[in-house]
Amino acid sequence: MEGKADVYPFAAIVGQDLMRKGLLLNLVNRKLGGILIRGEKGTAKSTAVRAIADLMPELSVVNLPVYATEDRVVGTLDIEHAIREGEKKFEPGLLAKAHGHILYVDEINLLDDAIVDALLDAAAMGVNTVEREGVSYSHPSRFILIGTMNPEEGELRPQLLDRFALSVEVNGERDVESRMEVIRRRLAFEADPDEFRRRYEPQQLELRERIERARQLLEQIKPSEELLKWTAAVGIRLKVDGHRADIMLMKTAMAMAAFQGRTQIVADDMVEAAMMVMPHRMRKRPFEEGAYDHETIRELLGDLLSEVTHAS
Amino acid sequence: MQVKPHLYPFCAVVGQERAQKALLLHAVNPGLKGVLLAGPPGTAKSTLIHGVTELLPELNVINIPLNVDEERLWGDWDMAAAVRSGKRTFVPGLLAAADGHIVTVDNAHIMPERLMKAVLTAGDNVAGEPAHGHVRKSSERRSGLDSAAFCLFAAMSPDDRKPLPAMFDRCGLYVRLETSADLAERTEIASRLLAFEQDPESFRLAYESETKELRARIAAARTRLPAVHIDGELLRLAAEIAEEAGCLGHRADILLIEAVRTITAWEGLSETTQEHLQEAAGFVLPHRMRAASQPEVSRGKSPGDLPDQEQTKHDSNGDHPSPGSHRDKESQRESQAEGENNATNGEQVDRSQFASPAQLGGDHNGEADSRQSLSSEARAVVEAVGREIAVQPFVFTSPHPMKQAQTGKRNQASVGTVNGRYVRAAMPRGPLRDIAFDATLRMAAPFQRIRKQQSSSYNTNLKLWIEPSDVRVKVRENKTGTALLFVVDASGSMNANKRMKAVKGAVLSLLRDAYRQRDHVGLIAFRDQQAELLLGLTRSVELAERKLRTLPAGGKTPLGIGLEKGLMAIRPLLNRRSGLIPAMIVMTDGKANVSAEAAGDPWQESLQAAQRIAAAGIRTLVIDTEDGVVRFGYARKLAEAMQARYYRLEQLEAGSIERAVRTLI
Repeated sequence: MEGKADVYPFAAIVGQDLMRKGLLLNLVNRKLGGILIRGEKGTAKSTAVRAIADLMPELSVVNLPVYATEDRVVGTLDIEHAIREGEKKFEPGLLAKAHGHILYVDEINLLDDAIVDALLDAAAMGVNTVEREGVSYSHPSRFILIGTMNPEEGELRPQLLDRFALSVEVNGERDVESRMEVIRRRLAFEADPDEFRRRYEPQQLELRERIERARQLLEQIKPSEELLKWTAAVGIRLKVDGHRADIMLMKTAMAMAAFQGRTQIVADDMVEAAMMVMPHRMRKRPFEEGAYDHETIRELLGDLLSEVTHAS
Repeated sequence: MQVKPHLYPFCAVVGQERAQKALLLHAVNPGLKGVLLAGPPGTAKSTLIHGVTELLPELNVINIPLNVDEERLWGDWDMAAAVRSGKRTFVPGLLAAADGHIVTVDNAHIMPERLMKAVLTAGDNVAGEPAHGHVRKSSERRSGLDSAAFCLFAAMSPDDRKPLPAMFDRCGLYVRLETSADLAERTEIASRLLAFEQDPESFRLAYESETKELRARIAAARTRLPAVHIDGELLRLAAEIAEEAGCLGHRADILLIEAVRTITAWEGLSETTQEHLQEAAGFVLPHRMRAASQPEVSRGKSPGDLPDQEQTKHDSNGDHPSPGSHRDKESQRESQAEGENNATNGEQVDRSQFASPAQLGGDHNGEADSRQSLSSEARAVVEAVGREIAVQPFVFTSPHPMKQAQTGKRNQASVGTVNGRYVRAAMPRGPLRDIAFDATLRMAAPFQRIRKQQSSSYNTNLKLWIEPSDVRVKVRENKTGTALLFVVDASGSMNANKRMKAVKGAVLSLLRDAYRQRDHVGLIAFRDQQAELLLGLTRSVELAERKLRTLPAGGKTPLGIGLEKGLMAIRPLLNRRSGLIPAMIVMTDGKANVSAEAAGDPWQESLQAAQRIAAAGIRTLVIDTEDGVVRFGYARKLAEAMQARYYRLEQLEAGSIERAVRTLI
């Protein structure tokens, strides 16, 4: 892996299993719909995002900073060209650059409303249309959207929340042993990044191959009628808005199976997928006590959980 | 460059039959003035509005994105052409290009209001209505084009922010989409979408013949439409329905008739039925019905008041509501109405301008009891439709009326901030910041030739000469939020009779509203000897809620200290360009008994703090929590000193808050 020597290898990240899995699933199915990572600062969120692009050399991470202006995001008139040549030319923005890649928004909940609007507009049809400053232009804009946020600093607009296929909570490692391992590896990496990366190269390679295999397997997976019915039942039971949740649930379970090297979806895939797809869609009523943690969802689903075993 | 994504076939959408119907009707009849689909995310709104465009392959599709600016919308001078030729060349904007074609808007609810309004009213000039400011400005600039008539397909998620702005009653048809709760239907939705994603080409192919059928049916209905007539009775009923629904003006009546005609044509019939009218009402009325409590001053006379002669006079006209071309129907009908009235009844000229289609339709026999029965029919239709529920937001009064006029809007255009959406360019005032290069270049363009000729004083290597007078800056529109600071009395007196419980309930219900509006919230509690900032202004309403839940109560009442603390917390927002409108909500019984100064008078101190808050121009609301038979009314006096809006807690409890109290605490 050339040229990305300063990137911490994905395979060396300790813990944060859910986040890692969520990110990898988005690599298995690039059209899955992105992931929202919620958690406090210093939980390796940014490290992990940079690391997955490093894992897949054909992917790049386009960073959308919170202070980005709308022009920068959607694209604008190429001023230099206009002044030099006296004619209009479109200067693509971040949405163009991110097409086919990863669009990473750190602290996405602090994003300016105008920028969120731009993201929503592009997401509606996967096309960014620009009609401003005398420029009329549209280009495809499909990307893996990865957002991170600290929920203490405010929530995300429900409409944008709904666009994320997955959401995971990350916390600092509680276990002393793991914490020590985190620090040990970090120090080793900082002391000699090249050597550190070399050490993880075999594992990185293995992971990359696993993803490639999963991508091929995914094409052979067809969801059964029973499983589709189960996802619909989950959506109805959990009273989520719209039908995106059902579809994303199915797609996530399919990617999960493929990542495990199977073409058959098993009950665990479905349940695990539900835990990543559903929680953030159930958060629109702000004052209900306690976020929807996995236990609550398990309770709500109740009998459906045993049903899925029969379905798969 | 324009791209066309693989679209999901319109006819493959499951479970949104009403939305599909509305879109198809508009495809048949552009005179229906737009379809607005409203619903939660993920209910196929965008899929539908883009899908329907494929059924009209002969028309161009113009997608208006949120980033559109006024110049592109209205058209403007072509900078490039001006540089080359030295002449001003006008490039028509999107609205002009859309004339006779299709416009789609994906996120109508978050498009800047003035731009969305422009899109919604683009076709209205035809009807001879007083031109909106922007319309007039634009029609001057748009060479030769007075209006644009097009099919408008728009989608919105209303609960993201405000419920449904009034301007959307410009949209002809409205459908609210719901998430399906039917297992089989949902399974089918997911199954089809996955199939489409895996192989869009063959999926589209599978629906090809159905798509072709729909196209043919639209074409057939378009041909049949001019021949569909409405009989007088139905016309009258339509007018009564509009009246009953409390719709202002004639728009609703006309749209009802148009929708009924279109439904009839779509069904392949030439005679309309009352079922068609009921169906039409379901599309036309829900978003333009007024609340029953709202006074309707400008409403015309009710049909029952009409003199008999006028009704018989219009008998014959009523049967032929002039179908004509697709566009301009509204104006035709109005001018026809005027003409008829002029011809037959001179003294009625001025009144006839306000004649509702009810007068046009007339009643065949004019018998009172027949009218009665029609009215009850109208009522039944309206009741069956139901009204879109509007959330009543809390209103704050500002001590300075002028300021209020400026800040009353949630969308505020301003020069000089680099945040927000670039909506138009303007002459710079003050220091140059945030230059609008596009507009600057357009200004400079026509002078290039002259400047080039006089280039001795210029650098000849330059391709473009820009002078200070050309420079324009960007005007940006910021979605301003409100920063709500709750200043809550947590003293011992609040514990009596479970007042604190009620107060918490009231604050919670306000927080709910704040969440919906994406406001910032903060919380200050004062009790015993001090006031404590429990939560600085933040967007996390959930955090505010958590703090409130655990708020302890007891001790004395340091009211003045609490108010002072509130003022301090809000003051930075007044000076800074925060994009936030601060407002303070004080909840207290006003019985101050602790002062900041050792020998001070607690009440006087509180009044002085209140006056300072008023002087700072902060919008305030006092919620009086005083309870019991003997009331001292301190909180009211406090509200007066603060120039605040005043509510008693009981008043607020009457409505939604009462429910909130029960369910949340």
